[in-house]
Amino acid sequence: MRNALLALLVRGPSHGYELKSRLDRAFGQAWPPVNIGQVYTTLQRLERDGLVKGIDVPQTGRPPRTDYELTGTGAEEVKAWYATPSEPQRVRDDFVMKAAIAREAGEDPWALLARQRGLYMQTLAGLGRLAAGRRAANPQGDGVAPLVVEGAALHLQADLKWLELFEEWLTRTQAPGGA
Amino acid sequence: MTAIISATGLVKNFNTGGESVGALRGVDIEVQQGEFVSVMGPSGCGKSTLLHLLGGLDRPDAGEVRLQGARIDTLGESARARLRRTGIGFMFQFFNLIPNLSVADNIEVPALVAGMSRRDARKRREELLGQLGLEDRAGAAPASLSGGQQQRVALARALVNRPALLLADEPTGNLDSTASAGVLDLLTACNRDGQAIVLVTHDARIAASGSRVLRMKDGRTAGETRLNKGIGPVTDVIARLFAVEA
Repeated sequence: MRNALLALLVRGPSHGYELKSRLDRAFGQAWPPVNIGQVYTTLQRLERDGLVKGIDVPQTGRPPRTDYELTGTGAEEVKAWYATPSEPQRVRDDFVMKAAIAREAGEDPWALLARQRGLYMQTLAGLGRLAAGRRAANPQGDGVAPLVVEGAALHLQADLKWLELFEEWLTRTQAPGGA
Repeated sequence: MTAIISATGLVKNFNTGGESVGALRGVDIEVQQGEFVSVMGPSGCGKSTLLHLLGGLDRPDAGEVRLQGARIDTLGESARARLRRTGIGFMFQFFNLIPNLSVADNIEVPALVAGMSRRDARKRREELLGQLGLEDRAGAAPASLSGGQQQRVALARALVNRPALLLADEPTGNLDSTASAGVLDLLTACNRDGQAIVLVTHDARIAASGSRVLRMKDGRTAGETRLNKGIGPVTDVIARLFAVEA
């Protein structure tokens, strides 16, 4: 969230609640809403690190609001963030570990596979319904949300393909007479 | 309750160049009224062959196929053709529309051929043109439509005789992602209205539209997943996958 907040300050100062709203709007409803407490904590850390500066803006009948402004260092950080290609996603290693030592742990690898596949399919089904719901509510498009849902679905497709490889490996390495 | 379609022990061999290839090696499947079943598997697993047998487009070498309790695999070609006109609707990957008929006539002709009166067929056609958003393309030639629109015409054709079962073979295979989403939304809506559907696909995401996913591999079924309704905790899944760090 650090870098996203800095980036939203490039065009001018903003305050915590407005930044939360802008982030929520950018991602649409494919994302859980941004936690306002986390926004404030992050802004405070950014100020401590010299990347933003807080400016008190007096308000009538209320305590002053704090607007945050990007510093020179902050602006450089945003530029560097955009200029550096992002690392590919980390592979989920929990299942790989389970799969590799299933037999040694006395677990049925085929049942393990079926359970994992079931979860992926169920998640794909949920993503499909989420996407269908978004389409019905926003025929014109919904910001980045459809892309986010697509991205998640594509990852799951890859995971399912990997399960097929695992299945082939199981078949090849099955002990004669059944595992 | 009688299953809409029920098949047991299906075997189908194809002879290519003197060699017999086992496309189906003993497959059982049952689809209840109102069910949306996906059959998923890699190319060559036999899923299309299965669909062709369920639809009476071909006959098995062994096993039985029953449509609403009555055997169809023993019927001759003309009896099966009659059955296809009224009991079963088909959607294919490449639309299979009649190129020299208008969109409206493409929808109406199967109803007339099945014996519907001119008036009823015309009424049914207008109903479907409206439901599928095709009214302003009614007089157009199929070739002038986009892929997604052509598949909507294909769906209208398939539904015109109110079939007990809709069979779809890779209906989104030739469509871009927007058109695919549109077709899936229509199929889901049909199913919500009570239409039984069997959809064959190699794409897990498309398969996940069904309420039950049957996997196939090398001519056999290889497991089934029942899918719960609802969305589930997918926004958490998305947040994890796109791990936004503080």
